[in-house]
Amino acid sequence: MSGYRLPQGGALITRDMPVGFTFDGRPHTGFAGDTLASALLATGRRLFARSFKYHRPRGVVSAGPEEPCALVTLRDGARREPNMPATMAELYEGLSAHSQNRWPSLALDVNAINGLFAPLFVAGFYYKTFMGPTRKAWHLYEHVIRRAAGMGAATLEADPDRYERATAHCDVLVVGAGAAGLSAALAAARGGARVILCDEHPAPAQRLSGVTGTVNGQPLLAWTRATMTALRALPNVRVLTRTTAYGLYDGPTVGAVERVADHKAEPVAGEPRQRHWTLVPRHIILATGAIERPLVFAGNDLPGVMLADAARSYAENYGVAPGRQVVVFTNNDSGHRAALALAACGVTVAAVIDPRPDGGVAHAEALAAQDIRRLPGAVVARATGGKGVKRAEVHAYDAATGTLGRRLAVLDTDCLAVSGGWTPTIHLASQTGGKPVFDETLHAFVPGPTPPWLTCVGAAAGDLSLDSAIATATRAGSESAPVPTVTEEPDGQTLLPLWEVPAPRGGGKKFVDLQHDVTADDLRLAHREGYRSVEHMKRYTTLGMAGDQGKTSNVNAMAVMAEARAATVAEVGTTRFRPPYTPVSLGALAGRAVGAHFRPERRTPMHDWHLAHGAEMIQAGPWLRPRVYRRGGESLDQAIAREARAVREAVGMVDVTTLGKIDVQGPDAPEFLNRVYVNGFGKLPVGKARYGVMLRDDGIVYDDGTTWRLSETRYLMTTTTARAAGVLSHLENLLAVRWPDLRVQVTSVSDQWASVAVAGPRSRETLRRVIPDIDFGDDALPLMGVREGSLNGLPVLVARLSFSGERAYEVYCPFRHGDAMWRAIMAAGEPFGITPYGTEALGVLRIEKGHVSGPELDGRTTLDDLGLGRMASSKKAFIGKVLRHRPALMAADRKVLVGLISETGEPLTGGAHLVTSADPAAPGRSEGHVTSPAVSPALGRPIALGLLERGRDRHGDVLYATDPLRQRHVKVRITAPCLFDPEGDRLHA
Amino acid sequence: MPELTIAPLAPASLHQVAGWPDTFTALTARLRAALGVDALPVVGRFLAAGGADIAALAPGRFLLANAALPALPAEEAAVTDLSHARTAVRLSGPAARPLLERGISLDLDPAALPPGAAVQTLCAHFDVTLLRRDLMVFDLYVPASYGEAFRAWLDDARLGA
Repeated sequence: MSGYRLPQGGALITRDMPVGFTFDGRPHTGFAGDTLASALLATGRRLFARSFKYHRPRGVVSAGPEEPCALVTLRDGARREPNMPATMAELYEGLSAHSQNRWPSLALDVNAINGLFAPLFVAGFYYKTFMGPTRKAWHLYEHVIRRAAGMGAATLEADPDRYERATAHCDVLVVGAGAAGLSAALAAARGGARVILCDEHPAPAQRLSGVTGTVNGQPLLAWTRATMTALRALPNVRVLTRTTAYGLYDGPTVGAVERVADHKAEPVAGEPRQRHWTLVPRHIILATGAIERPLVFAGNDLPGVMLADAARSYAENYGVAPGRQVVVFTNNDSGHRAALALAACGVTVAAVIDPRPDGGVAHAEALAAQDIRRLPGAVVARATGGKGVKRAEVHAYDAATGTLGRRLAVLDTDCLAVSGGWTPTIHLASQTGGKPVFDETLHAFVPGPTPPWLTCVGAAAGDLSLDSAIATATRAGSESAPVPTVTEEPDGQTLLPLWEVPAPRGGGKKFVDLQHDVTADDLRLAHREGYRSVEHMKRYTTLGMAGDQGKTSNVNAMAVMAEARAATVAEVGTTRFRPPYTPVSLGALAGRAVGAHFRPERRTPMHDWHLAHGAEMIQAGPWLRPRVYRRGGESLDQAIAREARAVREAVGMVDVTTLGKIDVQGPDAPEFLNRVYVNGFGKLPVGKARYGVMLRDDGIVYDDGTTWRLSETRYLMTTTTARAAGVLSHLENLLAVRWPDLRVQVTSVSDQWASVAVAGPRSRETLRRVIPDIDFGDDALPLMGVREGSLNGLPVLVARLSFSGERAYEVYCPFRHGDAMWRAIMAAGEPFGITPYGTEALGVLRIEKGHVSGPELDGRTTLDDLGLGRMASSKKAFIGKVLRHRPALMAADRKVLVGLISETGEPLTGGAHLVTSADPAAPGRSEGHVTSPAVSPALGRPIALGLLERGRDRHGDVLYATDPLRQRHVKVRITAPCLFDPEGDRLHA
Repeated sequence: MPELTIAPLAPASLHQVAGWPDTFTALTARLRAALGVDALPVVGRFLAAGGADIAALAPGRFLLANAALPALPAEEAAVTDLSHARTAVRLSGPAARPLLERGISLDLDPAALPPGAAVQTLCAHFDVTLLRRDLMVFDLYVPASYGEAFRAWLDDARLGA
């Protein structure tokens, strides 16, 4: 047993509110306000986790988001979440936490055997072992290694909780609610600015790091609380607690995650577990504070070795003694202050070891008064123990030469509190691109040049003085704000850089990156092997690449590298920090875009009718379309065949509301369409429609559809369902950028019209019964004719168009009347056996006719490939006209559209390759592929459209459609694309 | 939960009227006279006049709801009937803005988007035309085919607002 709950104290906990929780199934009790780390430390636990690579025992190092070691799995079942720092997990009643990366138990972990093979697991282990000649070994070992590697395991169940995304704008965003952040926010808000203040902790100033003093005569802590209360009362301030600003992006825009309900067993109804904020400020003030650095010495990863300020925080904030016999090892005065604070809380502190020759002299009297032994000019050269630190070997240290002297003492300790100085939290500032600058006083990187909309204040800017931080931050908030009066404890001596303590005889591992198990030796190995740039060193050793993003390891690593390169830390520089500052859950990024909200459905007005009549719906982009209306007992193929036959033999109706529809209007509309389409539209008579094809600039086919001339200055363009939005953007771009002189307006009317295609020999009779005011005679309404009429009083547009090859009409009516129109036509067609058909039958009918669609307009085919070359006008200019004649698009061996007939009756599959070999095991070179397969009721066998090299010269040839994935190899005969009614007689039937 | 009302809007008509640089002056003169207003709104604003809403969505482009349209020569303006193309809802109450913050990334502060603002933006996945009628009253127009999906999104988003 080590740590314990102190009889009193704990600024953040409420002692009369006990909270029950479990760790590895064992019940414990903490207090409201505890973190999982503080509550477990209070039970005497030091062993929290096993390390990533060597499975070494690890304890709590920090009291914040920088925690590299005490990673646990929170909650069970669908809410299980691995790799969470126990230091950030707020305790709640019933919290169930588990240790991870161990088997069978935390205390006895068989993979700890990795430690014996440590010489193997050096930097670059994977590259060295599995690349080059031994590459194939990876496939042999991958399974075993993947199981042994990694940390906790995520749940496989769906996350039951709600996540949200939201956006907030402000004039000033302040990140961090410490003394500096609060000052900046208050000044900015009182100056009238719209302020957002966010902080990752539940309460402000939780990380004031043992700083004491007064502000405007008030004790610091009381002042921070009063300031927070004042801020919350201002209408122009939004305070976001438990909110981590994780990324700073151009704009500026800041990504932040609010942990709304992570501190509860379950979110209350409607409440999200987390909320992702996109914050859009005009100005950002980063008051992100600083993080204490560990010291690098042999055995520095033993449970019980923790940051001195974290030890202080556990005692002061949570009323927890981190050990029964604390030894402090520090190279700067904050370690001494921590020792005194611990002692003031009633924690036994045995000694303070300081490498500076007169280290901590300012605190000598105070330490003596607490009976704390002061050992200046000395270092802890090695910590020893099994599953926790037991002893600290103290040696004399010559700061001038950096050499170890004689052993001065071996101190018994169960908590070795270390401080290597303070590292400003510059992650967000670094993300903006300013190269961080090495500060020779602080011996850490501070933000480099910042853009004009970004200000760093307080410890984040390297300013560790309370007085100066509050003054600078206040002025950053508002130039004219009154600066508070601050008193503080005078700063002590300057820090002695102590980057790595030489190991005494017997050595010992010295960890730099505690989460990724990277040692000082690993860094030197990387240097010897040529990975000398910090960016290379980082990638080779994986230093700083774990979930903690090198918060505690970065500066020490750069210094070890500098030593190896015989350069200064400033010369070595630091790696660029990248988002996120702390891990972001995928749920927060997805927000509500899950389930039905992942991609909202577009529905036609006939949707409910389709469902009521047995339609199986299929997604077509965002649209839902009936695929097939299966009748009792029918197989899919039977239903498709029945629907297709109905169109060929009687009459069928399909919902084509999903087609894109664009209103093209203006005096120059004829000229505009002439330029957009390969064929002419200028001379199209009013009341007629024409099939048009448009190319991209590069001569490839972009989209097709019919366009109807409604008046001299007005056309209704239809596009494919898939390209509706793309075509509109294309047209708008042309009008805005290329031809701003053309007086044309284009407007999407896709949602203005509901539309159906009524097809088949009885289509005319059907429509005559419901649209009496249109003369359906072939002279009055010829093929491609367009007429206005009325259907049961509804205004409709009728165009005689055919995709199926049968006599057919498209009928358009205002969107909300679509269902009424559909029902009326169904009723009118009943005597003729009108059959609703879906996209499958629609496909069968057009494949029989050799009409191209999406699978053929694949962004690679030209007009000539599709057999449409003769459509292109030679008299006028149009988009793509020049480049369609590029040599590559004119090559003789291009794949062109062909029809395919299964010789054996075996079905064809889309994507099957066309080959000449009869042997499926040796199919040979692909000469083309199947684009659109169908089983043709009209021809009584499987057919397809395909693209085949020199296909037009090969009609009658026999090839094979090979599909190794579906294990098919079907003999096919090549034909012209149109397999049914090539003369087109049925259009007039 | 703070108060929020989501009510369907059913404008009798919805038209887009657009002109060209050389016809815009003539077009606006005809619209002013027909609609009985002294001036048309600038881009990004709308005007409520005699039961009609006139929103300037883009340079040379207006959206008119419930307006009695004058006859406009085809060489001067393009009029597109969108009466069926949109589904409209009105959100009102203190929770309207927090709800919209969950879908819209524009600044909804009255200083940036005052009553009278008319903007086209995205709300979650949906293209919306947003008219802010009052501090806590927003009219939203979405494509008709997305009507049900948008309503489902609103019903879900209000849980968190």
